Amino acid sequence: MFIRAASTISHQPTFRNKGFSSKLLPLTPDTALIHPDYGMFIPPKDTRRLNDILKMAITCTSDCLLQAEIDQPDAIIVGTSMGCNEFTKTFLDKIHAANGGLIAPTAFMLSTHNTIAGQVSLFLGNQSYNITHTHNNLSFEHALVDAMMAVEEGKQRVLVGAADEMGNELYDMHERLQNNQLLATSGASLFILSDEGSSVAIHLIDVDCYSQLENLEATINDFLKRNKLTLEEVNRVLFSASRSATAETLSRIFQTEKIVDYQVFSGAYYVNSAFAMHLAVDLLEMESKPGEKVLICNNLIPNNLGLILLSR
Amino acid sequence: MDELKQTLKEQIIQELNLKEVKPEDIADDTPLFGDGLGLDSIDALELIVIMENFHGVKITDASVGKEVLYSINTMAEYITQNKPA
Repeated sequence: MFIRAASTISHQPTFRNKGFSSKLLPLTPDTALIHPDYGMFIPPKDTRRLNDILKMAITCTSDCLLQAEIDQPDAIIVGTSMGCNEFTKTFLDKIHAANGGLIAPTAFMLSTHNTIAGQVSLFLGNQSYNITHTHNNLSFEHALVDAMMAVEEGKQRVLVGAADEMGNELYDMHERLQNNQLLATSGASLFILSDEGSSVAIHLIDVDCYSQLENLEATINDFLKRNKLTLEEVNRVLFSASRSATAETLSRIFQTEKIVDYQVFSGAYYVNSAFAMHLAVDLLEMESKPGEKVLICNNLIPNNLGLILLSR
Repeated sequence: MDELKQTLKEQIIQELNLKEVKPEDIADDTPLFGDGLGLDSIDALELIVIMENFHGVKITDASVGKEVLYSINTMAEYITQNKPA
């Protein structure tokens, strides 16, 4: 299975910037999203009901379709942990302000988790399989599993991705809840999966999700074993974690120079493993030799583990 | 009446997020739907909320809604005639 296109809008210069992996700098507290010119991808009349997360997802979708040279995907599969939480907040504010009176429909309509996949579908006029997965920090991995099954069932071009936004209130909550130095950010990443490769083909080899993680090392070993790989055959490990034990374990079982904490570059949002997958694609395309492999290890929530294995 | 019409235009632009439109772009007799301002059925619900929440006027009879929401003129006229004392 191949990744035919990848597009990300984030706090890094990722959008339409092949080779961005060599230009990444650690985020600083004053980090801001790097918004492209959405008007190049979405007609102005279609943007008035869209907030940033929807513009990001639709713009990345358009970019992916251009890269893959297709008009329509055969399925639209999105992972999101928080959904359109800015619209949710607006809707709640309007309920409060209405004081039992009428409530305007727009914020309500757009406040659900499946708004993102739904708006992508409406924008494209696409009536194919459309679904949203929401499972905390494993939302993207669940979407990816579904997308891989869709390709195996015969869908040729599957649009899969993830998006999450951190509004001002959530930034404040995040700061109060977290006891580490993670920067709360937002991002959207979309991909086209296909059975057909391209000139520099990036393989999506395997994905799995574990929600009752007991032993990180044993779980990674089992995952690699079922793919007939050893620890030594993994060339790079991109990981996220909210406690130091994860990095210590990965440093011990892989060589320390192989592991990279991608949250230094993406910041913390629940589907930032999608950012990591685009980063892995870019690294494999730009810096690797055929056969090299990247493992993404998403352990942002300690009991949850997402593993994604890619190769060139 | 002119002040009410200006207020309605500003409220419509604000609540419907018509960032590209200015109050002076909306003529008093411009149709709000279809070929005029190009509003849709979701906007119709937003207009009903504007009428009730900002002006205290309810549209209880669906059959008159289409006529009332036709233009700024018709909205202002309905509000003036039905505004609570």
